[in-house]
Amino acid sequence: MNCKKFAGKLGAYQDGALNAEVAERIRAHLESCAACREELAALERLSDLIRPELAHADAPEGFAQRVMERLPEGRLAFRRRSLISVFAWSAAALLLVVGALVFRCVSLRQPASIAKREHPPAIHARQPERASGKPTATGVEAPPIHLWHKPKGEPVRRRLPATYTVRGQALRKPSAPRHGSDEGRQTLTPADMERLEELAARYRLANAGIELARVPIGEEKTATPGTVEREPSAGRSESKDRKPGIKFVARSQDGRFSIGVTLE
Amino acid sequence: MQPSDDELVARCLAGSNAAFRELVERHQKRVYSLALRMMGNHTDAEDLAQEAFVRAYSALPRYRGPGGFASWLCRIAVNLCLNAARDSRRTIVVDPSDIEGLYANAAPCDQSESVGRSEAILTAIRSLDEGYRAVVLLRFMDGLSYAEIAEVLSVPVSTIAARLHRAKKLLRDLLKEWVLI
Repeated sequence: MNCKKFAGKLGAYQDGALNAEVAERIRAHLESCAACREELAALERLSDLIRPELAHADAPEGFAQRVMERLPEGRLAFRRRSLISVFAWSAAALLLVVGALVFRCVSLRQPASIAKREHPPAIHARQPERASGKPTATGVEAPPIHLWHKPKGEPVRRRLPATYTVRGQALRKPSAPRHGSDEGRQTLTPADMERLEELAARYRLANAGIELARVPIGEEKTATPGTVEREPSAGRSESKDRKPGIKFVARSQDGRFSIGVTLE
Repeated sequence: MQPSDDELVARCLAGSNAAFRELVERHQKRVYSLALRMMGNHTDAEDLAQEAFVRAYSALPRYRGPGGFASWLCRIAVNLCLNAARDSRRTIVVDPSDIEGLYANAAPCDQSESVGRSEAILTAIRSLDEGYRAVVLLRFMDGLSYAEIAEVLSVPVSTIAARLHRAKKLLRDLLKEWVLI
């Protein structure tokens, strides 16, 4: 028998934490090994030494009362809290539904012209000329484009309710970038620019003046107008609310709003 | 006949704070002792023990019995103590010679020697890393099985066995004057 094999298990053996088979093997080994018996005896002396010192201590006088005084609410806390919680969540859900319906109605009824508006109109969503994934007249499948807009100064995260899907007008779909690499990062070609401008014009945004700026996803707010570059985002798609694709923004020259385009 | 912990929890959830007070009185000794041995001073121990009960109260709707209230409460208390100990870095680094000094300085009479030994043992336990200390306390103070300790600390049983083995070895080295008689 090898003592080293059992040395690490003697404590567990002493505590009765080993299965019967291993315990039996150790028991047999102990009968023939004085060193391991001494080791076990030392462990038992250690336990005998420590255990009395760790006897439960009495809590200080008035402990329970002080705990009760620290409780977050008084009597019937749970009942009140649960009722409040039910009402709060119900009201929040109702508000969300009503808000979404109102927003949807307003969005669909907005006039097309935006030049005189404080904020851009909703880009009329779902104007399908070709549905994604279906055969087209030319036999080429067009990737969908997502557009969003946001008033200037509004936090980027609040743009999500104004996300629209427009199918049929797509920029050239790039080759899929590999995760974590720069492969797939391309500068927009003039043809892409033309198509984007065409897209902007189509949605009556051209007359507001569009500048394009390369913007890393999630940092649109800090973007400065300049070169336009594709930003592959497949490597950034860990976040649940980000779809893989390519995103860049177009900002109006008067700075009143910006438009983001995501290519899938 | 005393109501069980689970019955008291049910009463708490129905709005009875008196039931929660009974739970506090029933478990205060254990929780306070654990906090005291983890933190090493009465002020922090009382504060953390109270906080453990307050958090347990708030989390009662999430308690899933049956029969596991003491273990569940213990888990809350241990986690609070571990976080507090880690935050404040209160782990005491003990030089083995300090403990030998305590032994050497103990007077010959039994009472003084006993006091010196107690001090040495508690100092040695406080010198352990928080993770080891928690395992030692749950094992020696509460007599929990490896599986129960694993449940309290949310780690595998094999981890508990390894930590206890290591902790016992450290304690044995620190307290060799008494252990190797």
